[in-house]
Amino acid sequence: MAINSVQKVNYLGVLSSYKMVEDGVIKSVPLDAGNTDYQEILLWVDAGNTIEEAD
Amino acid sequence: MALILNGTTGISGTNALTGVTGINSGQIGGRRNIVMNGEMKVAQRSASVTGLGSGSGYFTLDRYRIGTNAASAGRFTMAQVADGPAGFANCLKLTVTTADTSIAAGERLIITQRFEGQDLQQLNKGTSSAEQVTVSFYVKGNAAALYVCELFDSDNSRSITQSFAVTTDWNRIELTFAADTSDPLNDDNGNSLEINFWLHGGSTFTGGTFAVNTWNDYTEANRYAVANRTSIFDATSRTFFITGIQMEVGSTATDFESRSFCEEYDLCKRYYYQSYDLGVAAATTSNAGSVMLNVITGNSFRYNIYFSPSMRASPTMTFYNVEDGTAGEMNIEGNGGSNPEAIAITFNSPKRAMLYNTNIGIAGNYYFHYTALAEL
Repeated sequence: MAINSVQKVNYLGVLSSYKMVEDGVIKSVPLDAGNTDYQEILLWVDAGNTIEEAD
Repeated sequence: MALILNGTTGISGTNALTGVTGINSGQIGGRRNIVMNGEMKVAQRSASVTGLGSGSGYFTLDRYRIGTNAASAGRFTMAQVADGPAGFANCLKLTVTTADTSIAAGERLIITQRFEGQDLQQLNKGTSSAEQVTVSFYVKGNAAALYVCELFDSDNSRSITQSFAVTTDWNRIELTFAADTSDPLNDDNGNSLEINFWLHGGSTFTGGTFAVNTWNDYTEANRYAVANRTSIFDATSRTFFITGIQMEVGSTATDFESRSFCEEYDLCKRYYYQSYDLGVAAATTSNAGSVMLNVITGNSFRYNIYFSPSMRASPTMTFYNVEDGTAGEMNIEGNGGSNPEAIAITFNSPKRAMLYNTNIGIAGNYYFHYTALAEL
């Protein structure tokens, strides 16, 4: 599984989740350190990738 | 038959409980099997998926993860099939469809079940009272083979391994693993321990020295280094069948503890749930089980989905258009999948997800499917 992109999603102006595209599939990732996709996003950022700002 | 009750040696006699001094304590009493879906009853995602081998993940039977470390040329089908020893209706079957005899260093194929540390405190791992753990399971294959069963302590990067032989007949394997007085497992909802069934490995995992039934800080090269090991990818005729997996405290493999489908399904839903019917793959065009919400006026909605039982952690949610299976959206009723709208989540917890969209274009009835994933 490969992360294609990650974008912030804001609810009423506050970061509420990440929109992650993985192998072309859009997923909603919660801001929960116990969530393995959230952990993957942190590793993805550590690897030099950038989370896009919210629309 | 006469039974003799002896407080020291247990109950003696034919078919007695040797060594058991009470039937309401120790491993004979109560719920024993730590493994979930050991009878291979629950397969929410799909009963069968072909062409696996290029990546890791959960594909068919709940709680069983396929692990690969580097892309192998080997390919296989993973399926829940109606086969098993007496008393078992189903098993997990791997069927090799593309062989790979040119094994790159980093290749591996393992079947894994991961456990939360808070469910393992009875092992007393990392204390002077640490318990032995016995893993038992039924296996068979198309031909004789030798594979490895590993307990991997993810909290402390420690490992213990034993090999097991497979024949063309169903056999029950019983492996008692030594107690580990070093390094306790975390008492939380994270991944603390894995059962790994090694079926294939490159030199990264085979280049060292195999240690039999000894806990060690893990060395990658030792994990599948057993002599005369088999690679399941050595021929397209290879098959591997497994069911009745049990892990219990103590040195005895007791009879398999069968649980109802409902019990197993509930246990599995802590880690994965889908609105699709059981076995219907996500992204399938299907209305059965979908969620409907009505946007009467205005341009927004809020909708709560409650998880029962609570999930292990706030889940990743993926939404699907009911009418064409497109991910990341919901569809308006009877519109053939056109005019879809996005769904986002907020204020998520293991108990509830709040879905919303504040920019809906058309009022009406919207449908969507979802998956909620909180695997370890």
